Amino acid sequence: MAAIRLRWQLLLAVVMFFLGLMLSVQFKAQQALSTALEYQSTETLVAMWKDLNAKKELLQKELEQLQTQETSLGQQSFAGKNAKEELQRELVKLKTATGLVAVSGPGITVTLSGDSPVIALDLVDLINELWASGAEAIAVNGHRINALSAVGETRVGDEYFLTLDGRRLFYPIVIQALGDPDTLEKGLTFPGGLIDNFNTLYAIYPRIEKHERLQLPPAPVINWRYARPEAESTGAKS
Amino acid sequence: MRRWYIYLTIIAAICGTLFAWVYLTQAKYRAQSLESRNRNLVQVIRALEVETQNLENEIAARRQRLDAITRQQAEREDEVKALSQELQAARLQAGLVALEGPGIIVTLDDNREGALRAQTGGTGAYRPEDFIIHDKNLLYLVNELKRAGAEAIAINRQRLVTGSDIRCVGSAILVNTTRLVPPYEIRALGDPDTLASALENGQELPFLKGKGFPVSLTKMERITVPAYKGSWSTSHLAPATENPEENRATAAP
Repeated sequence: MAAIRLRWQLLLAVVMFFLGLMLSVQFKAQQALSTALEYQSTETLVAMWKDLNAKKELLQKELEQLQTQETSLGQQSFAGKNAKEELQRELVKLKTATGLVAVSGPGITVTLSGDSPVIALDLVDLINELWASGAEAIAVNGHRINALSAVGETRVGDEYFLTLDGRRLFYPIVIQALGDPDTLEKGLTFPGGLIDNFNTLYAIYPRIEKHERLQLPPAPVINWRYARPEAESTGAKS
Repeated sequence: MRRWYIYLTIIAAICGTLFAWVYLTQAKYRAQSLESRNRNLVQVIRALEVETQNLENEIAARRQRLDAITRQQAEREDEVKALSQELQAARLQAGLVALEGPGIIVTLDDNREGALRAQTGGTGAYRPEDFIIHDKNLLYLVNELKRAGAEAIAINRQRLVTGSDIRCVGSAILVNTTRLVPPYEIRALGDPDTLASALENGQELPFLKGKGFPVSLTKMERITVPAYKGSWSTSHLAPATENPEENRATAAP
């Protein structure tokens, strides 16, 4: 009886084993069937295809937008670079013209030896005449002239001397003017011109020399105490 | 013994059902995998999947590039901002900005009455040049103003800047190469008392008054001096700076 029972149990175990095996195989097959595209129903596949098409269209639109954005940004970037270069050019030009930076170029020097007395107004005339003759930058004894530069004269005891912006000028007074050397020289030396007057009226004989290259230092920066930019003014563009 | 049959029957039934189920599944498997209608659809879907993946990658790369450009642009904007501030300061120094503040207004006019008297008086020696304001009068007056600390000067709305000249052509006075018509109005910004006393104790104003020219000097609490409207010639100049970039910038015409 015990032997029969053992046989049955053995048989049952074998049967159960195969049953389990089959269940697991079936489970795997079912799983593969539900995930693989090939085993989806046609309706599901069509739905998926539609979804993907819609997604693709959206992505393409996005890409186009990004492309447009990049192009316009690139143009802006180019414009920005241009604006920067334009500003730099303008800045350098202004600084150069108004004496905010050291400059170099061709020009002439006018030297007053001091053998004959020179008064402040002579120097005022000389500087004015150089500007009128096309000078682009002027310095006197190495002091760059700006919009507010003034020539003065001072007497200390018996000593009489010229000043430029409050600083004493020692002889020889050398005026450096940058610009076309020939034009500058002619502007001073034409008959009846400034040098002619200096010679005949005051016995002043300035020495004029042309130079291929002169270098002038920057002018002092103007500091305003009373003046301020006009309230609503934006200023005029040069 | 009957119990065993019952068990066996149940197991057989389960096995049978299972076999049937497996068979059906496998049959479906085979049937569908061979369906060519769906195979095309599957291929299309696979291709679409690859395509959208590529698009997504490209979009990501492009976004990154845009980000870099935007950052670079922001940097350049900062530079441009700094440059325009510097330019504004330079424009102020150059006289390209109108200024306001306390100051004085001096007006000078030709001595028409004196000229008329001299002409009709018939004393013989009528010299017209004795009765008109000359460029030198303005030039020397302006020098006195600058010496007294004037912070901005304009004659008949012509702002005096670096390089401004005052000269005459015939009997016309030119400032900044613009012809001026009398009466001449000189505006100077600065301490009104200092400027006024410098002129009154100077040479030019007493000289003109003595000659009978109509001269007036008014101290003002607030006047404006216009901006320079002309240009500068810098064709012979090169900035002598240590910055080679600035040198290049002006080397170009």
